[in-house]
Amino acid sequence: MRIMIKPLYLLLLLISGVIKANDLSPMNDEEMGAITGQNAIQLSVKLHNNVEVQDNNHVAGAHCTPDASGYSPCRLGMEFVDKERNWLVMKQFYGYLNLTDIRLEGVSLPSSNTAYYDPDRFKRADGTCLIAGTCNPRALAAIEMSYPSSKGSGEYQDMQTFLNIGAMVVERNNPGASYSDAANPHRPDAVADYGFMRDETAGVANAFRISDSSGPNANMQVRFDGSTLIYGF
Amino acid sequence: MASKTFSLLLAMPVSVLALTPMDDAGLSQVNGRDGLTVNLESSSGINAESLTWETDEGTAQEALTRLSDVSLDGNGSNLSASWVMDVSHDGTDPLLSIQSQWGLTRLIMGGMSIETPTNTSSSMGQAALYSQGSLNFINRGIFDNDGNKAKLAFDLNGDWIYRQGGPGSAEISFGNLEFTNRFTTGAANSHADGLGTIAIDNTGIKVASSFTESILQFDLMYNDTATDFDTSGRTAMMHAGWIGGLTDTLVRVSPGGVGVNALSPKTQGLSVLTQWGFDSDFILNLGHAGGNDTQLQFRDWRHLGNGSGPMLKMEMALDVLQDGAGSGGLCFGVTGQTCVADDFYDTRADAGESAFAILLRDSYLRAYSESIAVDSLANVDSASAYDWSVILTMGLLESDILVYPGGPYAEPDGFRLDAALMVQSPGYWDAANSNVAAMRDAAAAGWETNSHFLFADMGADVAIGLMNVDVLWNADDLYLVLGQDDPAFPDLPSGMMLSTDVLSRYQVRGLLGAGSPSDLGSDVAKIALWDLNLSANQFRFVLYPTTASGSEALGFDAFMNLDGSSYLTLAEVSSPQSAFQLYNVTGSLGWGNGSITVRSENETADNLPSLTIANKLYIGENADFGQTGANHLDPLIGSLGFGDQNYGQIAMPGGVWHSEIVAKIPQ
Repeated sequence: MRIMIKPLYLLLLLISGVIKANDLSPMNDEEMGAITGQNAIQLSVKLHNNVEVQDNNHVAGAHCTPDASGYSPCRLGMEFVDKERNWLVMKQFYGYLNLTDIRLEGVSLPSSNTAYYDPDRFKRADGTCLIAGTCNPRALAAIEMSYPSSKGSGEYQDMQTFLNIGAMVVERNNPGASYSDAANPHRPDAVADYGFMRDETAGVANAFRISDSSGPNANMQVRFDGSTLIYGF
Repeated sequence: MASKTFSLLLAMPVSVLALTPMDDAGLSQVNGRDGLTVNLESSSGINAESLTWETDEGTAQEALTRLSDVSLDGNGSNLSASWVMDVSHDGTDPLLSIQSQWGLTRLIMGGMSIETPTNTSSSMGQAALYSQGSLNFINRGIFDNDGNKAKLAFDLNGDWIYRQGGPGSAEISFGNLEFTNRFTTGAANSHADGLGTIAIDNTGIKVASSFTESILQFDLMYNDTATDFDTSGRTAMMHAGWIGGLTDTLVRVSPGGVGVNALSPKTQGLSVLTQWGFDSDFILNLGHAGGNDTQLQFRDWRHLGNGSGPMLKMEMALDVLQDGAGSGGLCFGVTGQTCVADDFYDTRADAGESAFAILLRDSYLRAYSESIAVDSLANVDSASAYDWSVILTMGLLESDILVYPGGPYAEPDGFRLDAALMVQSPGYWDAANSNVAAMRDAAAAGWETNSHFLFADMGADVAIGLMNVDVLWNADDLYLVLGQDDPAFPDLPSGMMLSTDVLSRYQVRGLLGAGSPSDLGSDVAKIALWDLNLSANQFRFVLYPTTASGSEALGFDAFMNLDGSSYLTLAEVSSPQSAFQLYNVTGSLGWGNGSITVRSENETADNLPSLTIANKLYIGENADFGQTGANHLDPLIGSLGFGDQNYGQIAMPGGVWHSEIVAKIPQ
C-alpha cells in the first residue's frame, strides 16, 4: 500500500497559534497530475474516547476518576519486545475526534510518469518488480481521499480533535505474578498483575495534550485542502 | 374436529364429456353457479391435537417432528372461507379452475418439538398467523408438466407472530405482512396475466414461470407487554420487503434431506430449490417502519459481470439429525469438497440430542442493484434515484445450521443453534497468498462468481470496499431469547437476544481496494489483503425498538469476550508475508445505545440522503452490563507484529468510547 499526497494544504489551529502548511513541498508523485473519474462516498466520523462531550469544553468521563488507590481504566499500555513485563502506560487517556465529510473517490493514477519517477521504489529486495512486469504504478486504480466541505474563509472544520495523556510512566508487572499460558508467556495469570493495571511508579516521565486555547478542553481545528491518493499492488 | 357447517352446492354435474370449449377469458368469468362451490363457516374453528412428520423410520436417525395444539379460527368471528372449483376447456386442453378466498383467520401452532426413540425435546415456541387472502389457480389438472398451462395468483395479508412460552410472553412479529405472487408476462409487458407450470415430475413438485410479480414485505415488530398474540401495542423496528418482477422463477420441492455424515445418499427429509432473476422493476426495500417511513430502495438489479442464469439460487435441505450425526462438514473458502483441518467445519448434533438441520449448498446471489433511492413520507413518489449502490454479492453461500428446541432459562420454550454459515469466493484467498506470483496475479480470475462488499458509484463504474471476500459465521450453543433478562448481564436490555457462552466467531477476509463493478478482475486498486477474525467465547447481541432523531429506529446492544484467537492482519498484495498483524487479542468489548437511522434528501440539512450508525463502545472492564462473572474485568490486550516480527503488546484495561458514523451520497 502506498499513500500519495496531491497538492496538500494543511491548516492547523493549535492552541492560540496558527500553523499554515500551504507551503508544503509537493511529494514526489505529486506531478502525477489530474485524476480521472468522478464518484464518491462521503463519510463523517465522530469518536469520543473517555470524554463527555460538552460543546467545546469536553470533560473526562466519570469512569476516569481515580479510585482510592489511584487507579482508573482510562489508560493505554504498550509493552515492547525484549522489554517484556515492562509497560509504557499512558494514564488519563481521553480525547475526541470528529472528521467531517471525508470524501472517498475511485480514480486512476495518471498514465505517464514524471521526472520524479524512480523504479527502484517499486522493487523487491531481490530486484524483481512489485508491480507485475513494469515496476511502474502509472494508471493504477486508486482511492482519492479529500475533504470538500467547509472551505470558506476562516473555516477549520475538517477535523476537530482533542487529546489528553496526563501521565506517561513505565509500570512493571507484579514481580510476584505467575505465568502459565505457554502461548503468551508474558501474560500474567491475574489481570491485576499486568503493569498497565498498576500505579507503582512515582512521578511522570511525560505528558501530552492537543487542544485549543479557546477552552480548557477545546478542540484543535484542522482544515485539509487538496487530496490524498491511496493505491496498492 | 370442532363443529362446523359445510355448504355444498352442486350447480351442475361434473363431467368432462359434457364440457364445451372455453377460452381463458371465459374461464376467468367462472362463478359459483358454474362448478362446485364449497363454503366453510365455523363458529369454533378447527383444532388438531398434533400434526407429525416422520423421517428415517426404522433407522438410527428416526425422528418425529411434532406440531402440537394446532388450531384455525376466525379470530373472534366465524371462520369463513370459500372454494369454487370448475372444469372447462380452452380449445386444446381441459382445464381445472380453483378460486379460493378466506376472511380473517388465525392459525395457531402451540408448539414444535422433536421426538426420537431416545428422547423428546422441549418446544421451539408458539406461533400464530393472522391472514386473509385469495388463491386463483387454473391448470390442466392440478399438476401438469407439459408446457406452460397454469395461471396462478395468490395474495395474503396479515401478521405472523412468534413467542417463547404461553400468553403473556414477549412477542416478535412480521407485522403488516403482505405476500403475493402471480404468473405474469413480465415488467416489460406491464405484468399482464401470464402462464407458468405447476407440476409433479420425477424430482417432486415443480412451480415455474418465465415471469412472476412478487411482493413480500413486513415490519419487524416487538412487544414485551403482549397478552396473547397481539396485533396492537407493538413497536416497529424496521421495514423489509421486495417488490416487483422475478424472471425464470423455479421452485422445486423434492423428497430427500441429508445423509448421515455425508450429503448423499440422502435419507428421508425435504429438499427445496428456489432460483430466479430480478426483473427491471424489482426493488429491495429496507428502512424505518415508523416516523417518516424512510427506506432505502435498491433498484435496477443486474448480473455480476457477464454472468447469466439465475441471479439468486438457494438449494436447501431440511431434515432431523441426532446423536452426533452431521452433514459431512463444509470447507471454508476453498475450491472443492476436501480441505485441511483449519478450513474444515464439521457441525454435528450434540450427543444424545436431536436437532432440525437446515443445510444450504451451491447457493448464491450473483447480482446487485445499480441505483438507490431513499423514499420517505417527506418525498412520496418523488425520491431521487442515485447512480450509487451497495454491492453485496454472495458467490457461494453454504451453511450447516442445527436448531435444537429448548430455551436457556426458566422458560423451557425456545431454541439454540449450532451453525457454520459461509459466504465465499472459492479459491481466492489461497491463490492471493500463494508464493507464486502468477497464481497471485490470477487469484481474482473468478470474480464474476465471487463475493464482494463494495460501495459503488455506478455512473463512474467505480466501487470501494472488500473484493473476493470470504465471510464465516461459526456458532455453538447460540440461543435466541425473546424478552427475557439475561442473568449474567442484568444491565443488558431485553428484546431479541442472541446469546452463547461457548462460541460465536466472525471472520471476514478479502482484498481491500477499489475497482470497476463491470470488471473487478483487472484495473483494481489493491490496497491490502484484509483478514479480520473475531472469536468470542461469550457473546450477546440484542435488538430492541428505540428512537433516534425523533423517530422509531432499530436499537442494539452487544457484548463479546474475545478468546485469544482473534486477529486483524493487513498484508501487501504483492508480498502477502509482509503483513501488519494485531493478534492473540483477548478481552471484553461491548456496544451500547446503538441505533441505525436512514434519512432521505428531504430530511437532512444538506439535502443529502444519509445512513447513520451510532453506538457507545465499551472496552475491558467498562464492558460490564452488570456482570459479576470471571470474564467481566478482562482488559483488551493484543500482540503487534509485522511479518514474522513481534513488536510487543498493546492493552487497554477499560474505556468508554462513542462513535457516530454518517455515510452520505454526495452530489
